[in-house]
Amino acid sequence: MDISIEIQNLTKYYGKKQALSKVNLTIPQGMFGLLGPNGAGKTTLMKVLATLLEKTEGEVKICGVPVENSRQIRSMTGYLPQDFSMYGNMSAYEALDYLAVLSGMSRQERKKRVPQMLEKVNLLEKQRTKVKSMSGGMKRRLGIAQAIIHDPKVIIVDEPTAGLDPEERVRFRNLLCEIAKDRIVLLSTHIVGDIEATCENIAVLNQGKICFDGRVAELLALVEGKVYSAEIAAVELEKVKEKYMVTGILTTGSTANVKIIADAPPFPQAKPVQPDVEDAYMYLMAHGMKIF
Amino acid sequence: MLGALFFKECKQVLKSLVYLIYVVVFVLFITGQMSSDSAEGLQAPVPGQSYYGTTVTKDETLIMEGTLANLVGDVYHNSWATYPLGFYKGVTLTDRETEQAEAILERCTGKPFAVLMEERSGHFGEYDPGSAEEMDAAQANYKVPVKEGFTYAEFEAAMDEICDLVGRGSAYEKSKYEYGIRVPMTYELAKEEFDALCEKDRVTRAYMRLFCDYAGIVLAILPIFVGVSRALRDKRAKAQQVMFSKSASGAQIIVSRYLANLVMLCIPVFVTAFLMQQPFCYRAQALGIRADGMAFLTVPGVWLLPEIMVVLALSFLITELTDTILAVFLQVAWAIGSVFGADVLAGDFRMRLIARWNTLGQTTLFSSLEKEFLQNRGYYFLLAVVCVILTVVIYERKCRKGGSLIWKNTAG
Repeated sequence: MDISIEIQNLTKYYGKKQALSKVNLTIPQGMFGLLGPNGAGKTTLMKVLATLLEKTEGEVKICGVPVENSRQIRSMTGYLPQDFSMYGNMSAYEALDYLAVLSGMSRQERKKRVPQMLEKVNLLEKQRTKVKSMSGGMKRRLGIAQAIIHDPKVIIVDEPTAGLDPEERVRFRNLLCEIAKDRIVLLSTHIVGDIEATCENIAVLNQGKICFDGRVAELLALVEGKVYSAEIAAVELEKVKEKYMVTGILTTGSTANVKIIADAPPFPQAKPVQPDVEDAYMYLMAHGMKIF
Repeated sequence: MLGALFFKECKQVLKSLVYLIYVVVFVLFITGQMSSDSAEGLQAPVPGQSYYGTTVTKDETLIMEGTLANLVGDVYHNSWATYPLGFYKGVTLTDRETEQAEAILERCTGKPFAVLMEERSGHFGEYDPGSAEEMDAAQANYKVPVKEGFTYAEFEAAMDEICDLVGRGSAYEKSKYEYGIRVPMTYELAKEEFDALCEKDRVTRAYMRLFCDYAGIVLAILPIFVGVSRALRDKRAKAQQVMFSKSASGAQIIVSRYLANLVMLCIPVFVTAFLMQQPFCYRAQALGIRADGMAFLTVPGVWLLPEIMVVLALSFLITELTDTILAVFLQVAWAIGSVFGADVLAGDFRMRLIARWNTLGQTTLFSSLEKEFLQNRGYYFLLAVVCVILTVVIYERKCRKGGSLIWKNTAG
């Protein structure tokens, strides 16, 4: 089976408000990051792919199946919504078993898969813990378990690390990478660090439009030779921020070490440094360009 | 999938606080209401008894005589009980209006009001006011005959004039006096009723009708809370999106939920009915009557099941449609209107949600109204099915609209 998502000219309106505008995207197997600021249309795109929203125009195919065939699409996709939760009085095992029933799994399959999935997300020992007593991280892990319980070819994960502490975030990112083998994991986030740590391919969505689609290395190439580091007097900071795009500040006493994106060296003492995804993302957002 | 979902839903209902409250309130209400109806009171009438109880009459002359008897009392006391919107409203007439009412009485009976009052005092004076049974008999035996040649049509017109004076919802509306005039039973009639109770109703069916009368009141309200609570649960638990993303169809989800809630709501009803009919089974056995041991299933099955079905289905539908607790207000109002809007406590079925039968027996009267009753129940059964289908349609639509029936910007 061809494991890919093909999106052509996807447009989505909420009444008169346009949320997605002629989005074209091909998502191959593996981890794929969808980056964009809040309100960019990421959740809308995710929901269209998960068949939770109808598109206004365009064509979307998941593994060759048009999204209009919602039943078939739902059987081959797993979806973890932004604010996943379940009935508070259910235990982790009960919640997963219930959602497995909704995924059409038989009793035998559930008996085998539910403990396996709980183990995979490190919740087997907490299988009797009620959902209402779970931490945010535990809930997200339960969420990913329900998304993969029926072994889908595509997993759609919307802002999964928002609100998690650093340790939980790293653990969750690693979990996503593990499950990305042999399938597509579409990760939507506005946290650049998540993409940098997990995805090889990314797309950047801004105001409903794709403004970048390619490999992480290609995104970094946009700002190659344009990122500088310089030590300046702390009192100069406001002036510098007004004149240049500052992506990092480290203040030490009366001096500040700033990271600046500029087409030419901003000051004589500025040294070019290796850019990261955050620099490239900031550059992209500021220039609003469309690069393929 | 439907079976597995059904059992999981049943388990969820069982663990919910709303359901626990439902069970407790239902059991307390029904045991409290039924405690006065003892099986020991069930005995064959004996010739020579002073009082055999009363029965609703369909005889036009008796209806006129009984209604006019009530009218004399109401004009005398100038205290009129009306139920315009199902709730009690006392009405007092002005002097001019009272004179008009007295004139109507005089037109119907051919006697001045003062004479009617004298006759009334004389009648009640023959009974012992200290005995409740005597006073019941006095009330049941008090009649005010119409004047010679006075037709039923003239009587109806006169009662319409009384209704104009006192307003809506009085006992002088046609629907009320035609079902509400009770006359004392003779030994023969009482024997006939008792025989019908034993042979046709086999005792327990009649008792279960009384059970259904009380249970029907509370079951028009309590299932609303169970239904609304279930229908809002996904949203409250923030589980809507993940539910929608699963391959289970809206029909599988809604039907399994509905059936599970319906079954769980019915269990305490049937268990209570079974336990409460047992004394009547033993009493029937003692009297040498073969009781219907399955009446606890068959009578509430026809009487209460359609009611529970429609109340639950409507609460699912309104809640799924609005995502609010609006169903609680609408349906409680409907239930209250149905309880207080009934013209009589036994037999005013029409299209009322709550089928009242606040009497033990009256088998012959029930038989004459059975067709109307079954039409009523059939209507609510079908309405429940339609509501469930509409709920499925709405749920499916919400699945495709991101959980809301109206457009809202959820872009993120």
